[in-house]
Order: sequence, then structure tokens, then C-alpha cells
Amino acid sequence: MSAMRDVDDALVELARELPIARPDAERRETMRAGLLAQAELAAPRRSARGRWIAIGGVALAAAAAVAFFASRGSSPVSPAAIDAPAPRAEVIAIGASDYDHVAETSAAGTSDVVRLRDGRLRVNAPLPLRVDIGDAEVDGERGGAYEIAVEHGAIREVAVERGHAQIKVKGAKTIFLSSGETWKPTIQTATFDPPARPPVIAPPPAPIAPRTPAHHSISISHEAVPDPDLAEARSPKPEAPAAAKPLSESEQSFTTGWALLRAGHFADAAQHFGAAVDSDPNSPLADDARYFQAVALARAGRTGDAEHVLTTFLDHAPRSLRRGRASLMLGWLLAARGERDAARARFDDAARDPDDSIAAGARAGLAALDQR
Amino acid sequence: MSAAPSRGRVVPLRRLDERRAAVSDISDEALLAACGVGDTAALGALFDRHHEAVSRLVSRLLSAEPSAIDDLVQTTFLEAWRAAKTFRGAGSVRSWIYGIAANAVRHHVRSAVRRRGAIASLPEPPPSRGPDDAAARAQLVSRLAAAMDALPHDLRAAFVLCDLEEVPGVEAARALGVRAGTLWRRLHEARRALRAALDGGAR
Repeated sequence: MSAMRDVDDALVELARELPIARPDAERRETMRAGLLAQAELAAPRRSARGRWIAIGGVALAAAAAVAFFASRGSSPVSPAAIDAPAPRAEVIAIGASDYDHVAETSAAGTSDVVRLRDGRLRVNAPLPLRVDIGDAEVDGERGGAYEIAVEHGAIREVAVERGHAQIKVKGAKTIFLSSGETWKPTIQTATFDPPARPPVIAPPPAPIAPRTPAHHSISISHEAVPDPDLAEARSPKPEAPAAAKPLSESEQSFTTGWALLRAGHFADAAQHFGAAVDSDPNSPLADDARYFQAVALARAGRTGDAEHVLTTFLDHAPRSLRRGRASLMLGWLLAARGERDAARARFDDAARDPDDSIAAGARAGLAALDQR
Repeated sequence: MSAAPSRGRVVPLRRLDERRAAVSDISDEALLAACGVGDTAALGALFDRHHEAVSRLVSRLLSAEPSAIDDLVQTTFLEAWRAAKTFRGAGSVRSWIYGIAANAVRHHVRSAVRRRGAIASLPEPPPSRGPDDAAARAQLVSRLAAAMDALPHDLRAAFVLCDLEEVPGVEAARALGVRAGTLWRRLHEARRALRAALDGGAR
């Protein structure tokens, strides 16, 4: 009897290792948006006009929250507006990060590879993706989401939020991680940072030019604006002052807007994002600034302005990875204003987004329009 | 002057103001009662409080079809909203919501079309990595996942609710709408099937 109980305990322990859904903030807010919008529709006591106002309010708040939560861990400069075939995985730098996101072509097909040299990345990969870090690599499974921190070319932490990941460090056993698990190397510096290696962060001889794409690959370089919180948390780097590149006016405005947005000062944040756009209207940073300006405006209750900025964003960056989110938010804004046809067009656009959560939010929007 | 009702429904005194967001001290029962009178802010609060647990439950009941999980979680809370007035307080609100979720998943897997989709999207087992302990365990987990997917829904629900979610047996039986004896029988069968699947793979 006792032996049977032990077997059952082992069975349960094993079953707890099965991957489970752990919706991130973005998916959660999408679910919440759809749920509350449908509940409002089901509520019997409001007039049609009042109901739509309520739906609009709920959905707007939720849609803004989607964008806000999605933005919380994002880099100020993202791959959003790069004019290249969109990589299939979403790779978001958290703070200052030095990495390339490339599509490698081989006989087996095309696959996403990220080469991370310094910083912290959040990876959301609908398909398997490999992250190369000096002497190590991290393989994430299809549908996985995880964060990887690297310092001076050495892996420092891997945290799996969804799915599984394998960490292969040269000369060490492969490590398997499941949802909710975090791994850190036991030996911090000596093991992963060979002394013979030249410093990763070296003073650039000239303004940084885009890295030359390798044959068969799409190379995207990122020089993210430093996140003040992360910068403080990191250990001082002797060579960093020489490598520091002064922020442009646009980057300074963006960084300030970012800090204000995270602090909940939405109107001020919108103003600074607007200044970032005005400083350099045609840069990829300006597209991101427009997007976050719209988020800030929506959170500040200036929905008309948010609508206008979102429209401009979609016009300027039609291939942005944030297109779906922007369309979804704009759809709810338009629906709240009674612009059913325009809202439907935006929801239709968002429904084609490869991110299931965005597509589901769009379908909820379309359903809400149909049920009116 | 009469005191609060000695038992039965919890009557909300006011609509929740989401902007104040001071819902942490409001019980699940009060939130559900507020849902019963059409308070969407209460629904939002209930979702915030329980969506992780419900997502986990649905995921464990439907691991072969991850794309349907969000939809089923949403459906679960929408059904809870619609049925809020029927909650009688016999068990915890979470168990009651679990029951709704299990029912939603059962309806979902009974659909033949979706069933085909589920089979088509079965996760690929991880590649063999040799005689490594971690790899061996990963393979064991993979085999268990396949065995779980092969379990009939009722058995799987009993195993997930009782063994993984640790819902008390009486509450789990109530949530699933069966007698306690039926639940224990299903749980026993589920464990036996899973053990057999693991043993069979080891040979």
C-alpha cells in the first residue's frame, strides 16, 4: 500500500513537470479585454448607446493595458520598424542590449537565430529559436517564452516563462528548463569569460554603422537606449565610459517618455514621445515613439489623439511587428466611437496577426461588433 | 435590526469602482455576488484573482491544444459571470469556477472537428539526447504527457483536480457534478492508466 502511494506520489511529481500555460501580461490583458467587452454586451440593463460607451471604456482601458503591459519589458528600440522581412520570433531587449537577430538559411530551411553579446532579452518564439552566446547556446522550443541575460559575452541567467529550453554550455552537461524555472551558472566569471577574449564592449572607432548582413541572413543591429534601472543594477564597467555614445535629442526624449510611462505619468510621457518623433520623424525610433505616444495618450484618456497617432503609426510602419497590437487598439477606439466599419477593418487587420492572442482579441472585437 | 444573512447569498452593497482598484479585501463570494448584479468591475477582479489558476487547469486538461486555452479561459469566466446568481456557497468560488472550466473543456474536446485539430497539433516529443538523466526524465515527462492526452476527459479531470490542483475530494466531486464515490473511482482509474503508460514505456 505504501509502495503504491510512493508510486502515485512520483506520478504526481512527474505530472507537475508537464508544461502548463502561463499567460504573459499581454495575453492576459487580451483575454480580459474580450471577457469584459462580452460581459458588457450580456448585461441587460443598459441602453444600446450606454452599452457601447461602456464597452468602449472597458475595451479601451484593456487595450491600452495590453499595449502598456506589452511595453513594460520592451526595449525603446525594437525590431518593430526595421524594413526587412519580419523575423518569426519576437525578441525584445530589456534595457541596453547588444545583439543580432538573424534568419539563417540552410538545407533544412530557414530558422531564427539570435546572437546575444550583452544585455537581457525576452524571447517569444512561435517556432524553435536558438540564441548563441559565446560558448553557450540556448534552444527554445516552439511556442516558448523566456528571458536570457548575458554580461560581457557570458551567460548569466535563463528564465523560462512558457515551454521548455535547453542550455548547452561548452564542456558542460545540457540543462533542461521548464516553465517557471530559472537557471544561473554557478561559477560567475572565470568559467564563461576566457581572458584571451577581447573586450566585448570596445570603444567604437566611428559612429556605428549597420552590421553587414551575412550571406543568406537578415541581420538587424540594435543599439538600445540604456534603461536607467538596469544600468544602475549592473556592475561598473571600466571600459564603458569610453564606449558610451551620447544620446541624441530624439533618444533623450524617448528615454524620458519611457520613464514617465512606466511611472504612470501618461500625459507627460505622451509629450516626450511626441518630442522624440519631432526630433527625427523618419527614424525607426520615431515609429516606436509614435506607438508608445498612442499608448500614453490612451492611458491619459485622450482617445481622439491616440486614434490619430495610431493611424499615423500604421501609415509610417506598415510592416512593424507592433502592427497587430496597434490595429487592435485602434479598432476598440473606433468601436467605442461608433465607427463600426472602420473598427471592423482594423479588427480584420489585427485578426491576421501571427500572434494568437492578438488575433483572438481581434475576433472578440469582431464578435462584439456583430452582437451589437 | 437584522444582522447579515446567516447563510446563503452575499449581497453586494455597492458597485465596485475599478479606478479605486481596492478589491483585495473583498471576498470571492462578494465579487461573485456583484457579478450576479451585472458588475463588470467585479468580473475583472475575479479574473485577475483566478485567471492564472484557471489557465493552469485548462492547460492541464487540454495540453494538446494550446491555442484553445485562452478562449476556454475566457469562456469559463464568461460562464461564471452568467451563472453567478446560481452560486450557493457550498464550496469555494475557485472550485466552482474549476467546475465550469472542466465542463467547458469537456464540451470542447467532444467536438469532433476540434478533436481532429487537437490530434494534428500534438506536440512533438523532444529528440533523444542519450543516456543523460535530465534527458531521460524529459522523455518520461513526454510519455506522461502523451498518456494524459490519451485519457478520457472525465478521468483526466479527476486526476488534474484532485492530484495536481489538490482540490478537496468533496469539492472536486461537486465541481464535476458527480458523487464522491464516482470521483474516487475515476481517480483510481486515471492513476492506474498513467502508471501503466509509464511502465509500458520503460520496458
